[in-house]
Amino acid sequence: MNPRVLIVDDARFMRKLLGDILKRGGYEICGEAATGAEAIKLYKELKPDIVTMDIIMPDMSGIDAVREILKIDPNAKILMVSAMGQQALVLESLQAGAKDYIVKPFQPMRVLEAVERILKK
Amino acid sequence: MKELKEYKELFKSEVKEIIEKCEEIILKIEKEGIKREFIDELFRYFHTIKGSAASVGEEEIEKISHRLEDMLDKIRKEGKKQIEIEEILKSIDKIKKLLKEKIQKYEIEIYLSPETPLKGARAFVILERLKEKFRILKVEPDIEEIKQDKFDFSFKVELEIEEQNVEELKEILNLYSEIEHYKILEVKEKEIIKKIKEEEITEIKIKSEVIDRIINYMGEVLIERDKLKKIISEKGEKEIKEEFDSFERLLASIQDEIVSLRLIPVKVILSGLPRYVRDESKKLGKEIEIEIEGEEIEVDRILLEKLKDPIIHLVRNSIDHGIEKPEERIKNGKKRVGKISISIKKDRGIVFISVKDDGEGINREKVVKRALELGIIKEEETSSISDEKIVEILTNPLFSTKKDVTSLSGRGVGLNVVKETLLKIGGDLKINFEEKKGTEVILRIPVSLAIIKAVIVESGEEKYVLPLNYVTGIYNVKNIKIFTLQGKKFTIINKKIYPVYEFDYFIGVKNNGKECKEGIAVEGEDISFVLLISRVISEQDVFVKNLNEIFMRIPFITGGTILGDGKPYFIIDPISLIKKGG
Repeated sequence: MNPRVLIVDDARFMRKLLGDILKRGGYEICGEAATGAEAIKLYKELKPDIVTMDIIMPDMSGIDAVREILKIDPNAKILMVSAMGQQALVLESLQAGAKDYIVKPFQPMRVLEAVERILKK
Repeated sequence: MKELKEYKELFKSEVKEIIEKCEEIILKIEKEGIKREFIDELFRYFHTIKGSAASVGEEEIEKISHRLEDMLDKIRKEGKKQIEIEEILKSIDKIKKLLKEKIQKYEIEIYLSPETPLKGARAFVILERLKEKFRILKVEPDIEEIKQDKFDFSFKVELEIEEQNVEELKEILNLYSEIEHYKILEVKEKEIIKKIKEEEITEIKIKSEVIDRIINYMGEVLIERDKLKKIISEKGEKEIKEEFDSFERLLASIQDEIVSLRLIPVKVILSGLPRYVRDESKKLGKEIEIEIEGEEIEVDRILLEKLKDPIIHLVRNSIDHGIEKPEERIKNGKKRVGKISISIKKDRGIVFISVKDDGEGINREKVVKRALELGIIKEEETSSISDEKIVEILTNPLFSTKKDVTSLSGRGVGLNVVKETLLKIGGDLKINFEEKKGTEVILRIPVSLAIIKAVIVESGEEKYVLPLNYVTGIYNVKNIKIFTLQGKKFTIINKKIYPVYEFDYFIGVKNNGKECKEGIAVEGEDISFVLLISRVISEQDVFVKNLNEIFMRIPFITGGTILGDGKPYFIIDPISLIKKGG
């Protein structure tokens, strides 16, 4: 079975772009969330193998969402999706328990590489 | 981090000890059957290992000992009469292997590509990943600086890895395409590792090579002392002489301590033997038990290292060729289970190690026949061959060839190698045997190689050094009566008759008519005599230096030394001299 991914991003364009890259890389997109709250709800329902998490979202930050998800499942594997210049936020999410990050605009190879790296643990 | 490593060292040495005890118990179970106390003891040992392993993060060892603990607990509760000996032994072997794994420090230099976005975060992710698998000791620049991008795309990590996991390290680093390249360098260990026990340092570990160096320096110091002593006794004033005397006493105490640093119990090289005998005898369908006595006796580590192979060799001989199969033993009226006994004794600076078995002994006829075939002896010699001659044949390099393993059911396999090793370390070997009853090989070695008590004698124009081990007294010739009986010289000391030999004659030099003023009484294990020499110069400690192999092949030369005059002298073993010289 292909690993299942939950994509969390408030921009539909980004969700589509990430989804396409991952599908081409052999992953199954099991769900998409546009807010942090939705992400937490879907994580409980879907139990995905990996989550991609935008950092800046309208309701709650991706970092808080990471903390909440890890409370539900300490082994959750979360990949942060960051913009250039957000190093402090990326470091905060890594310290909160996210496993890795990618930087927008991203090259498809870097996305797949990061996801594989996390799943390989 | 550093402390954990120290605890690990301590953990390893303790588990090693416990494991040895476990092996002993298991072998006892095999012999005496399951007893409650054995199971209890084993349970306790594995419980201890489990607890310690968990606290130093040795997960694999923890798992294995946990499983064994469970198994033993079950046996205990269910009162089982059977125990999976092979399985326990296999698990023990696994623990042993895990203990041996060498943890090494490595320094890794990682170079990120200049295009790496958020390089601080990338370095952080890589470090976190490494932390999951390995113990990180140091990061340069430090982690806070890295997080603030205060580095130029390269950073260093010092970590501890087991040698075999370097590949895994590389695999992890290769996961990151942001890493342009990396270098892995081994970091040399510190020379001294402290042992911490209950917050109090009672022991420190010193690398043996450091001790070797100290002993070598000690040797040089002794030579200097002797030179100084010579000058002072000739020209020194009273005050200087007195001061020198107390200096000498201090030096002697230091010397004793230093020499004892290198002494370790023989147990260290024998602990694997019960298991070895068990496994090897099983393979051959034989039943053999081994008994070891006196393994607490301490011997110079350097000597022990050299003795390990000879001892294993002798035990191997006993298993292969000495002890018979159970049926044959019963047929010959012997106990079904054969026995190998190793006993260690210490006497006046000499250690005796006896390896004895109750096997079939040495078949003289076969030995003689084979010796004839090989041309070691001549046909006319065969009628009267002494036991000594048999031993000589057995230790002849021509005789001791691999080929004989199958063609000869007696001994001789590699005995010459054993003998040569012993001669090199100033020892000797003796073989007692009785056909159908067994064989005993006795190894004789000095306790310490480094510094010995000796008497310096003059004979003819030369000086020689004789170890004091077997010297029981030095007498002025005027005070002992020497008489001649059937052309041989004798004397009586303390109501005991001693044959009298002239040192010069045996060593093979002319004494140019110099008078023999003194006699040295020597008492060996099976021989005692008085050796006449021109005069005794002094009694002192000498530092033994190994000689060129050509000299070491002369049986009565056990080493060399440099005396106060700065010149080299031979150290002569008087007993071998009388037996082999002349």
